[in-house]
Amino acid sequence: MSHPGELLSAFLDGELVAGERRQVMSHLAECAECRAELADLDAARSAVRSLPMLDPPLELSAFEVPVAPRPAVGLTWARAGAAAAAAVVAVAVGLAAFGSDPATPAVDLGSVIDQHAARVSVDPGLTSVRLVSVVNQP
Amino acid sequence: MKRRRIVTALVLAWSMLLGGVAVAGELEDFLRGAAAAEFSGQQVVVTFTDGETAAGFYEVTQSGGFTMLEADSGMAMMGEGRVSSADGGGEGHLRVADWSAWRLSDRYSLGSVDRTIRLGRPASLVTIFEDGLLRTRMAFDNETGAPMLSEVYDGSGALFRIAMVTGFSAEVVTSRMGDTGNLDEYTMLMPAPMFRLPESAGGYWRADTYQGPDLSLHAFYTDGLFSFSVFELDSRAKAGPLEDGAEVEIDDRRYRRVIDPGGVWIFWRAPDNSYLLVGDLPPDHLDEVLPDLPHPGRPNVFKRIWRGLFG
Repeated sequence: MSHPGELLSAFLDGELVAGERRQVMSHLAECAECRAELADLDAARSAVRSLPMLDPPLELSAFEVPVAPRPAVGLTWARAGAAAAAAVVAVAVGLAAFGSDPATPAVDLGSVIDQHAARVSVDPGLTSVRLVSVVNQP
Repeated sequence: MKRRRIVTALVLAWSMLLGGVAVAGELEDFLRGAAAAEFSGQQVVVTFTDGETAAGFYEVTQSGGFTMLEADSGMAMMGEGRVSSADGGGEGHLRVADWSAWRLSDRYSLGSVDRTIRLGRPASLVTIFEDGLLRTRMAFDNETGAPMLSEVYDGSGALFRIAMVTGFSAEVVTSRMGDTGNLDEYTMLMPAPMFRLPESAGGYWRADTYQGPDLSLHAFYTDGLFSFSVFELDSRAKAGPLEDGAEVEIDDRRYRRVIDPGGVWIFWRAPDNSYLLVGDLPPDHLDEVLPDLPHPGRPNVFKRIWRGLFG
């Protein structure tokens, strides 16, 4: 097989059919130049994936939406008090039930994969393959 | 005449039994030899799953029971129950205090052992079947026992993962191997009782359970050829990039999945805990394993209120 060229990108994206994939892999086993090219492509993809998500600038997202005026409703003090109390309870329950807890710990994926790898390392097998997740954690 | 038939049958059965044991033993010898091989080189590992592809390139050095992997993203050295890793996020040193003995599931059988040449060196090409299905082909260097190639196939017979050594040397530059360090520097994973996760799942058995540094529970499952760990986490634990993983549906239940070149990460929330699975098992095995583990689901509204108010 000649150099796969643009097929390498499709290979990384999983877009090749089985026959093409096998051809590309066989070629990669023999061709250092294409392996280097594949490594570059993979690095570029990883770099793009690692870019942070940005929020749009405020001036782009803060469109004013016209709202129709609502008729005024007269409230007694008792009604207003009950409504305020209900609102407080609703907000508290809502926060408790559905709000995010800033104190909730984030999972340390590095520690997780290290724990797995430490245990895997004592079993015989293809250690060099079984443990690549350690240096490629999400 | 009848006695002769019985004796013949017994001899035949005995020789078949011995043959089976010998075949299993030969496969175990290859795997033990691969783990103990001394070599250095480069390897490429590619995994394909449902249209997703993950590829990685590594410098490998294996010596003295330790394996060192280096990639652009970091390095790690592992062996004898210890792992030291370093990446942009820092360093880690962990070791397991104890573990159960390794054994190979009897669902695997050795198909054939053929001579081949890998990177100009004589090697043995080994095919391994699982209940009659081709599961993996591996090539081992004859001189060193090093694993030169491994192909793993999924339940439909499609290639799922390939790992190739693309540069090889039987010489190991020991100075390249990092210092395995003082054992006191390692955080110890202690065995822990585990009652909630099942003793077996999808043909894998729960070999060991540990308590992590963050007090999470960790169960290690294996079938001798593939393995995975399940971590039982706080129900509200934030799993970072795993929460944005591809949504996959298995047995009518939804999970988040991220693949890397060597394995798969699965994250899900159950009513009482969150769970994270990481391992190198094939996708059809994963389909069998997940239904045996706690199922995804949401706590009811009263439980959420209680947790929100009182933790």
